[in-house]
Amino acid sequence: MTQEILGRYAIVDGTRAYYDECGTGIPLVCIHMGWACSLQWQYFMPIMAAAGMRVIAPDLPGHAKSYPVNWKQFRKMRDYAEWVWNFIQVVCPGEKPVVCGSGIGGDMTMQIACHHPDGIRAGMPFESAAKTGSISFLSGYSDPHSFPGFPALIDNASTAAMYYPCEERKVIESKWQHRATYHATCVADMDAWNDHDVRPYLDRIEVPMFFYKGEADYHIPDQDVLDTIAAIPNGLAEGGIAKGMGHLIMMEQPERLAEACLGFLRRRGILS
Amino acid sequence: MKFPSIEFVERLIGALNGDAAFNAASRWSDVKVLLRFGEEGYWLKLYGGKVIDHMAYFPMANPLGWDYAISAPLDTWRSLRDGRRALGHLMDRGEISVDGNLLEANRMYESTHLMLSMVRDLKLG
Repeated sequence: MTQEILGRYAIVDGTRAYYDECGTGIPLVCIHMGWACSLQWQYFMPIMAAAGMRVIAPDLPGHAKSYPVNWKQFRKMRDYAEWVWNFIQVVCPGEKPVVCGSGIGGDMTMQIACHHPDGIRAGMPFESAAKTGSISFLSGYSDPHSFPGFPALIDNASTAAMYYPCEERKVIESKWQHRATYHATCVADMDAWNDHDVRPYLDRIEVPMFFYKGEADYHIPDQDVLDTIAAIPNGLAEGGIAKGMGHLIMMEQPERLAEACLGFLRRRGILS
Repeated sequence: MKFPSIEFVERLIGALNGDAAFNAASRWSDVKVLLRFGEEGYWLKLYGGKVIDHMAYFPMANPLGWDYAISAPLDTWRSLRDGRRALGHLMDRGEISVDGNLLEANRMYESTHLMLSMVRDLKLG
């Protein structure tokens, strides 16, 4: 039977935050990509819930139904990750979740693994590496008057790195998932993406990490992912490049992504 | 027909003017666009959803000038056309650069995206 996704709210850092929840068991916190929202995980969540996990997907501050903290966007990846960490304390008190995320969500997963190494069971960063940064020209365009065509940029840039050919319905749905976030938050997301660098902290990681990246995702060089896996000590990291997939890995092929994640979690003894 | 050439640009204009998505994305345009393929430049007048005039462009060729230029080295255009590089990647990284009146250019973002998609897909045969 398909697991039902329920919408909930929590107060985190003094602000109202929305999240989707599905299933019971070991918590799995799923962090969406830049410009997007929790809807990205809707096909992935029930599969993971059916495997015995309580799957939780927040809207990051300033995205979709979550307010920004103090009405300001985060521009540093560490700040974003600390908000996610505080969200975890509110929603999963006393528990160690598995954390996964994609794009900027993958970056936050890595930040939490480095800065709260004993606070999670495992990390699964997708479309991410120890250092990221690609779209570097947006910082001057925070105010709407500066870029009247910004919604068109969001439509195109959010779906350009999918693996093509891709079902048209998935492309259209993915565009809609990126249409509920304010322009200035999108710009700040890219500042945070460019700010992310945890290379000096990789030796702090104490939990298993699973990296997965679509081959068509040009935002992250394959080699950066492979180098990150190699740099994490004690054989804790594994993963690689997913053929036939792109940047929106959880929308393009949620079943394959879930299968890869479940394989990892079982190999590492986190799921039976 | 070779790429780039005035014949290519004329076929491009025909394809753009016959494309409903391009017409819609350019409906409220009134701009002069310089399309630069390496050393070769082509001036396009975009108005009301269609390209209504064009010419090969060289310095001082057109006293009206241009509002924004879309430029890249010829190798970059060829990598787009033969599928080695994705359009989004080239635009995100500025390898295909858009310069000039950026307020006007950014207002016409979707129009430019559709124009360059057509540059990518247009057959030479």
